[in-house]
Amino acid sequence: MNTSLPTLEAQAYHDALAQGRLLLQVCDDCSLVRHPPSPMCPACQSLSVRWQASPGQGVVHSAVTIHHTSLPAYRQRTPYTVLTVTLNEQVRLLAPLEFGAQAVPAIGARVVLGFSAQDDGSTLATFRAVS
Amino acid sequence: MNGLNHAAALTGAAELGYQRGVSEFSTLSLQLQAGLAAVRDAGIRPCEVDGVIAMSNGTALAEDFVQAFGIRDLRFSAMVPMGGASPVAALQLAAAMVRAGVCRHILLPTGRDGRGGDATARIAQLPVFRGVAEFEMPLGAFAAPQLYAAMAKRHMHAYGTLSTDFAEIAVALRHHASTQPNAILRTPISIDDHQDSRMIADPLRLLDCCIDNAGAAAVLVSAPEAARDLRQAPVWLMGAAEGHPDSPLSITQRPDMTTLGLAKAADRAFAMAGIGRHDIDVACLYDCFTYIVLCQLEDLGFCAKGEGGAFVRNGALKVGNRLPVNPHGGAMSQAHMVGMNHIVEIVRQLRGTAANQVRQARYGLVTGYGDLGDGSAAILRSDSA
Repeated sequence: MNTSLPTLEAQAYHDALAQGRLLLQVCDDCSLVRHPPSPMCPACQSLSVRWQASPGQGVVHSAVTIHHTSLPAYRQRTPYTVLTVTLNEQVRLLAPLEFGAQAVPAIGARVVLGFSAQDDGSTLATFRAVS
Repeated sequence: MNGLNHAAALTGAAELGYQRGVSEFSTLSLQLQAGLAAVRDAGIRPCEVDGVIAMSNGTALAEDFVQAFGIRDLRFSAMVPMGGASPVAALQLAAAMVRAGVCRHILLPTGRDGRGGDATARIAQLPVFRGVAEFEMPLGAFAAPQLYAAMAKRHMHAYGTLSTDFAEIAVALRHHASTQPNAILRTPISIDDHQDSRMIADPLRLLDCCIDNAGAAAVLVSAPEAARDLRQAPVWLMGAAEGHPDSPLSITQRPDMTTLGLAKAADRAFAMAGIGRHDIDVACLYDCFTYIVLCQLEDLGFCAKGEGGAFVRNGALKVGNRLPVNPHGGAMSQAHMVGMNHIVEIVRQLRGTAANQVRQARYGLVTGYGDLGDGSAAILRSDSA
């Protein structure tokens, strides 16, 4: 892992995700929602931020089913799918489709983020299709 | 004079033998050897090199060349941290430095020995992958094919591009490599072979991916007045540009996933060169994955966005056909040398000495691509054009 991680400005995001909540960074001056968290608003260059809880709802923008990976944590799970999702807040989030899903949602399909406890005690965020 | 048009010439080009696995030499030794070969190709003495643009991964520093070549007064050193876009972007930088009168001969070396351990861990340390490592690697997408597959999938969805279109690219490049002595993969493949190869990250199959290898390559960029009367006829730089995509650190957040940084560089490079797409006789396009070639053909303006699939069909990229692309076999089949082998090949094509020579090649194009979407392009001409 990169030795400079996690970045200071993203700590609240990481802490929330570990507790099963998705937080998005919002500019406290112009209210632009941005992701991933960063020090400066790309619209107005403000340094002021607030955090906003997200329900994790969105639409599939792209989908990649991975058959080969060098990531140890994911090697046992191939094939699995990673979705690029445009959240309702108009930022994108990349996360896996729930493992063992019957079908890969089409581009344009609605999905929602959920959280599940892993064997090692950590929390994993995955998308599932909304029927 | 327009920008960097004729500000510099490529006067030396060389590559060592490429091989799978591990070289008997270190990465540093390989880069020094390739650098020396490029210098000797040009016919200057090693100590006459007065500028070095080193690989940005720090495996060989400009200081190493000072030491090994006996350079008394190195006037300029730099790194261009754009992954596979670095060598072609370094042509722009080198041309600007010789135009400014800072240097006469700038060396651009690359090389790797095939050691270095786990690629995932190594890439995670690169500054440009900081965001990926922090926000996407924990969620299961990290390696290049996984990240780039999202772009390819989006292109297929938006424009009806087919996996067999990607196959056309792999087949054409292997066809070239089959008659290239210094190529690692030389057995011809068919569209069916591509379609039968195992899936890596849907839609990218094994035969959509470039190879991994040891080796080294280097080119020498010289000031015009220093380029004449050398051992080789100079290959003249006519245009050079780099471009960075929207959302350069995150493909996920990129508004249009099907456009690369090259789209911003292409018009600048062609305008500087003062020639059109139809004038290009041969192109060496960075080819870490087949899809990246297809996307670059669009972003370069050889066809409209979305028409890349139709453009490459029926062997269009083979020498003798519509647009000869990577007559050396590229990173797909010759060797992965961060694209420096593409520059070496375009120099040979414009000297008329390539293994798979395009007849009467006068104008050449070379591109780089790397680090999640950075792009670079250079347009070159033969001395006799």
